[in-house]
Amino acid sequence: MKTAQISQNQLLLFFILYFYSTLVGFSAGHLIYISQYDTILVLCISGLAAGIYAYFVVKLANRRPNEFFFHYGKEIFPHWIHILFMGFYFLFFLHTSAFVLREYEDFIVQTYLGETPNWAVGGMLGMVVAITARSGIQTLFRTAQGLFFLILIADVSNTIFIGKELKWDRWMAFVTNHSGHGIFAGTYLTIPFFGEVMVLVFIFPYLTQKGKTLKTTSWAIVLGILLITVNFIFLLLLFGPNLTSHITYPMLEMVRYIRIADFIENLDPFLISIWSTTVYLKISLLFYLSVHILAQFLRLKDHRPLTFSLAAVMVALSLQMSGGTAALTNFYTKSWATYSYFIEGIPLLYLLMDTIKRFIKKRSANKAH
Amino acid sequence: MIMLIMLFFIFTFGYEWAYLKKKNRKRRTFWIVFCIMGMSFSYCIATVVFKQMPSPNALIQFLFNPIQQKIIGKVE
Repeated sequence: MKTAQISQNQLLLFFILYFYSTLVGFSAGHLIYISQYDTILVLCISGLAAGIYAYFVVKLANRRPNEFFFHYGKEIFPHWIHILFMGFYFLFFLHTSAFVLREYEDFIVQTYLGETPNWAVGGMLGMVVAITARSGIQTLFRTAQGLFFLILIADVSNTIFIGKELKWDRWMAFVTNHSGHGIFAGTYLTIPFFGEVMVLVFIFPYLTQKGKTLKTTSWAIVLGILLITVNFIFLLLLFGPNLTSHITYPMLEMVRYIRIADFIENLDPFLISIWSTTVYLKISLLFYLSVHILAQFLRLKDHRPLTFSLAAVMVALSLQMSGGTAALTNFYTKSWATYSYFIEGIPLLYLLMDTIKRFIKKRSANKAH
Repeated sequence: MIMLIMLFFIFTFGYEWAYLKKKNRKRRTFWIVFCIMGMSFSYCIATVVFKQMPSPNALIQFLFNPIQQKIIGKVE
């Protein structure tokens, strides 16, 4: 397969949007419910853990920088174990893309397109995702680069306009209110969000200036957390933790508070544009990776002929995976994090195994001398 | 709904056939692409016909929910 080129700048901007997308849009209520005013602390600890994890992921990828993980993985683990792991990854990426798509469908249907069936929303976004994935990974990262500043302007505008509505006397709670369990549980649930930097292992051959990848990823984590933290602080200052945790889409409610000069009273489209774009980018990458792995498994020259077929599976899976928002939330809050840890731990196993093999090889070479 | 799915797959079949022909792909590639398409079509139809089909979420919850509960306790 021909390798495209993704610059470090594109990677940075893409990751910031990737981290921002679902954490702020769909998970804010639950995270604030668990961690209350400690949410900010939770984000910082999770970011730190993700930075350490990224170090190991980049270390693994850097050992064979121009080869695909699918190809060099069988040198590290026996072939059948490697294929099994790749199968897990294929299913994980496909399932996660369908999961995020379902979250988006529910959001749009519940808040804007009341009578529209989920399949119509899923079908439309699924089609866009399929076309993007078919165009290749470079298109995806260029799209993120192009849209980044629009999203940033929309988000900053939202936060500036909401400023005067905030109850600033609540700030003291960030200093005084702490709970050990809240911090632990919140961190446990948040690390896998940032742990999705493991996608680097799969896209590494596409990157330019590979030596700078860890630095770029670290900056993306820092800037992503900064962007997310501002939104979370504003949510807590506006609604407080109790009300926030009882709203399905607290960010949407926050934006509805904005009133500018008595004539602009509904800035929802700002938020919808941000979410739709970031969610689209996230789904596209996850979907692209699942198609890519399948194409490599089947030894096809390129992934393109599989995109529409798998996009149909993704949309069908998003509709079938859950009976409603409550069941989806239940799945997310009760098992998604642990499931993600298992999947995100696989590159660490490869790194460990590769290190052991190298050590044994080196030792036997020394003995032979 | 089934009609819509069929229309989508007829269009996709034609489109991919033209793409593979244009690129002069091997017979093997044709087989793989259309087998995957067949499986995808079957799955899509199955989700419409069998509404109560087991969901992957249920399996993931069955496997990981007890572990998560042990680690962070019960979070409602």
